[in-house]
Amino acid sequence: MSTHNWRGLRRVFRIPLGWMGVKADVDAELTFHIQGRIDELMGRGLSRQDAEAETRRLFGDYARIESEVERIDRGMTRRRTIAEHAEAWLADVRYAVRTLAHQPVFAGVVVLTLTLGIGATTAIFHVVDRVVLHPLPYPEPARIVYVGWSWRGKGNYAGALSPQKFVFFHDQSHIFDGLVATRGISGTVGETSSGASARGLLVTEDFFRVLKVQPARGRAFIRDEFAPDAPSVAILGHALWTTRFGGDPNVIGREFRLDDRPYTIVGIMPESFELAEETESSGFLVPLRFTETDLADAGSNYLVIGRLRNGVTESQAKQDLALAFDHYRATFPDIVAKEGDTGPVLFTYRSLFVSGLEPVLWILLVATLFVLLLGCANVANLLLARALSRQREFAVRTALGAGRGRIVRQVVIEALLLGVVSAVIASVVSLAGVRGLVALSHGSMMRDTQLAVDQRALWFTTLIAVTASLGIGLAAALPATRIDLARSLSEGARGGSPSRRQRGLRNALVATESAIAMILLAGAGLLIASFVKLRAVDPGFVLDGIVTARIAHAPAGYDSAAAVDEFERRVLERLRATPGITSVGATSSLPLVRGLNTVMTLDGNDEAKEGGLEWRAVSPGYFQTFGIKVLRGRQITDADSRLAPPIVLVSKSFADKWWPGENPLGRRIRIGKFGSRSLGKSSGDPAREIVGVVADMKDMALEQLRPRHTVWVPQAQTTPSFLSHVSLPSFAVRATDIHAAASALRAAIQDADPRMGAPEISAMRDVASSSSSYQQRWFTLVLMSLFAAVALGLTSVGIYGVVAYSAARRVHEIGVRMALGARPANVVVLVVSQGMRPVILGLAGGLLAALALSRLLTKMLFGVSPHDPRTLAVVALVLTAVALLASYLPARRATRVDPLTALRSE
Amino acid sequence: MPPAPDLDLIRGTLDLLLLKTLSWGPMHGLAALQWIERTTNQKLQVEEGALYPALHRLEEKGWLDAEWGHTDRGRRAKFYRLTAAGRRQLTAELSRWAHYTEAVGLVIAAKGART
Repeated sequence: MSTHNWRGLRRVFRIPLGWMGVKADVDAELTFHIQGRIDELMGRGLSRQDAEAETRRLFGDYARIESEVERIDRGMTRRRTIAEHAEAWLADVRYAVRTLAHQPVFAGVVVLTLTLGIGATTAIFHVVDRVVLHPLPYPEPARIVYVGWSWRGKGNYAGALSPQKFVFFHDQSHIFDGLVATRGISGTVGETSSGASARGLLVTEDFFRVLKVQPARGRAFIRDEFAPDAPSVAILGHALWTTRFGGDPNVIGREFRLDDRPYTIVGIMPESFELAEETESSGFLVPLRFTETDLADAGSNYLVIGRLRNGVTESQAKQDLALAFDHYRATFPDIVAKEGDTGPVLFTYRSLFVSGLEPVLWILLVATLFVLLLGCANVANLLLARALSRQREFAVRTALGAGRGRIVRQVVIEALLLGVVSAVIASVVSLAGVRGLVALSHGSMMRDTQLAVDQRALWFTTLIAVTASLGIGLAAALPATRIDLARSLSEGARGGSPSRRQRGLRNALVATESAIAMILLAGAGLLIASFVKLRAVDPGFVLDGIVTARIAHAPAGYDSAAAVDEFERRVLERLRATPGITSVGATSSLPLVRGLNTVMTLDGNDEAKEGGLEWRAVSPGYFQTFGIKVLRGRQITDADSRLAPPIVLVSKSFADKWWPGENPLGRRIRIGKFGSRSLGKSSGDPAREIVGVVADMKDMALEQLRPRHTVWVPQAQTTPSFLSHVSLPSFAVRATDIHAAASALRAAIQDADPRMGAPEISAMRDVASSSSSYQQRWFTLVLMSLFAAVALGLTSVGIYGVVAYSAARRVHEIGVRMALGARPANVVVLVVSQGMRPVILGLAGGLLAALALSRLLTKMLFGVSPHDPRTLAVVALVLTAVALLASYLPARRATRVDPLTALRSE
Repeated sequence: MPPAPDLDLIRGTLDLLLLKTLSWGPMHGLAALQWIERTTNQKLQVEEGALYPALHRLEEKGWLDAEWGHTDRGRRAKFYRLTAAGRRQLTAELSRWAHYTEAVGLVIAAKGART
C-alpha cells in the first residue's frame, strides 16, 4: 500500500495521526525541502559543499523550526481527535434516542424502575444529609457544642445543666467564644382570653455570639437587659412577626403582651433562623435571668450551647473542662457526688439530638440502595435480553469493522441516556418524597427550611445515576458482545441462542435479587414483629379510656401555691360531678411526658443520697385513674394536705435499692436535698415519711427497659421551692366515652378560670403513639415495609422476566418434548425448577446476609431477637411462594404452545 | 546567489502570499517558495524558517489541506491544497490588502502636510 493510499485510508477510517507520526511527518517534509534546495543550488553550478552551506544559511535554525511545526501539528491532531470522538458519541446518542423512541414501552419500564430507585435513594439521602450530616443552620456548625453532665457511676448523663453549673462553667472555662443557657417556654401572646399560644426561648447573653445569628431588624439584647430588674424585652421570630404582627417593621419599640406581662419588642429574627433542636418554630426570644430559686435548683433543665474558640481541639476542650471541674469540686464539695460524678461533658448536636434517628436513617439509606440495585439488576436484565436479540445486528456491524468497543459504547450510551432521564424525573419526584417523609415523621425530623434541594443532593443523584447506568450498560453489553461471528450470522433471524455464560449471568442476577429481597423483607418483618410486641406492652398503667389535659401556660396570678391549689380543686370537683367520668386525677407531669427530676437524701444520713430521681406531684385519685398499682402502704388521700405530716410514695425499684428485703414504710427521705447541702429555697423540702410503694412502670417510654426511680408527693404538699417549675397541673380522667370526657375536661378548665387558654387535650393512647421513639419506629416500619414490598415486586418481575425469556428461547425444545408425549405438567416442572434454582440459592445467601445484617437493627427491635427464626421463616416462605408464582406463569404459557407451531418456527 | 533585496515580510503578508500561490493548484512547500521567488524575480525573499510554521498554521485553521504525494521526479513530498474555506479567506485578505495599499498609497502620494 503506497503512502498516499495509506494516508487516504487513515482519513476514511478517521484514524488520527499519532504523536509519534507527527515527528516523522515533519521530519520527512523538512528533509524533502532541504534536499530540494541543495539539488536546485547544485543545478545552478554550486559544489555540493557550497550548496549545503547555502541551504543551511537560507533555512536558519532547523531544530527550532522543526519543534515549532511539530507543536502546531500536535495541537491540530489533538483537537481533531477530540472533535472526531465527540462527533462519534453524538452520533451514538442520536442513534440511542431514535432506537428508544421506537420502543416507548421498554423505555418507559426502564425509566420507571430507575426513577423509583434513584428517587427513593435521593429522598433518603436528602434527609440523611440534612438531619445527620449538616443539621445546624448556623455558621461554622462544627464549632458548636452542647454541654451536659455525666454520672459515670450511674451510667447516665444529662444533655443539659443546672443554672448553678452553667454560671460556674461560663465563668471558669476558657475554651468557648461564648456559652449560652436556653430553656423553651410557651406563653399566650396578646390578651390572655383571646391570645394564641406561642413557643419561645429564654436565652442568656451569649446567645447571638454562640449561634452567630443576628436579628434581621432591630437589635440583639444588650448586657443591661439581663440584669434582674431591667425592663422586659423580647425579640420576635419571623413566623410570629408575620402571623401576629402582619410583618409590620414598625413593631420594634412597641409592646408585646406575653402571659399578660408587657415586653418591649427590640428586634426581629431573620426568616432562616430556627433553633435546630426546636422543631416547632421559635416564636420569640426573651432574656433569661436566673433568680435565687433557679440557682438553687439542682435539676439539669437548661440546654447549654457553646461555640468553641477557633483552634481549640476536642482534647484541649476536654482538658480545660476537667480543670474547671476540679475547681468546681473544690468549690462545692457537697454538691458533687462522692463517686461517679464525672462532671461536664461535651456533646455534638448529632450525639445529642440525632443519635436516635441516625441508625434508622442509615439503615433506610442502605435499604433504598438495595432497591436501586434491584432495579438496576432488572434493567440490566432487560437490556441484556434486548442486546441479545440484537446480536445479529451487532454481528453484522462487527463484520463490517465496528470494534467491540463501539458496540459496548452504544449499549452503555443507551443505559446512560435512560439513567439521565430517570435522574431528572427522580430529582423532582424525590422532592415530593422528602415532603412525604417529613409528613410521615409528623414533622419531627426536619424543619421546613431544610426541605429545599441543594447542591449536595444533586451531586448525589448524579453520582448514583451515572454509576447505576454505567453498571447496567456494562453488565448488559459485555456478555452480549461476546459474539461468535460465524454462528450468529448463520443462525438466521432468531438471533444467537444464549451461551452458558449468558445464562450464568442471568441466574446470578436472579440470585442477587432474591438475596436482596430476602434481606429487606427480613428487616421489615423484624420491625413489624417488634411493633406488634410493642403495641402489646403493658406499661404498668392504663392507656385506653383515658383523656388528659395539659395547660401550657398560666395567666397572671398563679404565682402562689394557694392559687394553683384553688384552680385545681375547682377543676377536679367539677369533673368528679360529671356523669360518665369514673375517675379523675391531677399531676405535675403525665406519664410518657417529660417530667422533672430531683435529688434526695435519707433523713439523718447525709452520705445516703441519690440524684436523677423522677419527681411527680399527684392528686388523690391519680393512681386509680391510671390504674397504677400501689404495692404496699396507702395511696394519697385528701387528708394529705399542706397542714398534714409530709408524706411520699416511692417506686418499688427505689425502695428495693435502699431497703432491700426490708419494709420501707415509715422511713423518711428529704427531697431536694443532696448530702449536707440543701438545694431548695430556704430550708428546702421537709423530711417526708414513706407511706406507700408504687409498682414500677414504663412511664418514660413504652420500650423503656429499666424502671426509673420515682418519688410521688401529694400535690397539696409541694413546697414553694419547687414552684418555679410547677406550672399548672395536668389532668387525667378515665371515662367510658372519651369524646364526651374531652369536652367535659375543656369545659371544667375554662369554667374554673375563664382566662385560661385552650388546654391541650389528648387521649392517652395518642400520647403513647406520638412519642418520638414510637413515631420513629412507625416511620422506619412504614418505609422498610414499603422498600421491602418494592423489592419483592422488582424481584418477582426479575424472576418472571428471566424464566419467560428462557422459556421463549426453548419454545422449539418444548415443542419437541410435547410432540414426543411430555405432559404440560412435566414441562411446567422442568421450567419452574430451572427458574427456581437461582432463587433458592439467592434465598440461602440472603438469609445468611440477613442474619449478619439484622444486628444493625437491634436498636430498633423490641422483644424480638434479630435472628428471630419465626420471622425469618415466614419471610423465606413468602419469598419462595412469590418466586414460584413468578416462574409458574411463564412456564404455564410455554405449555400452551402448539407443538406444530413451535416446530415450524425453526 | 544574487544578493536579495532586504524586504521583511510580515506574517500576515506571508499568509496572503501562500494562499494566493496555492490558489493556482496544490504544491509542496519548496515549490510554493520557489514560485514566489520566481514570480517576484527574486525581489521578495521568503524567510524559509517562517515558511513551514506558516503552512502548518494555515492547515490548522482549515484553509489548507495537506496530503503526501509524489513529485514529477517520483519523490515523496507533502502537498498543500487550498480548501474552500481557504479560498474564502484569500478573497477577504485580498480586499483587505487592497484597502491597505490604497490607504498607504494616498499617504505617500500626498503633497506635503498642511500646517
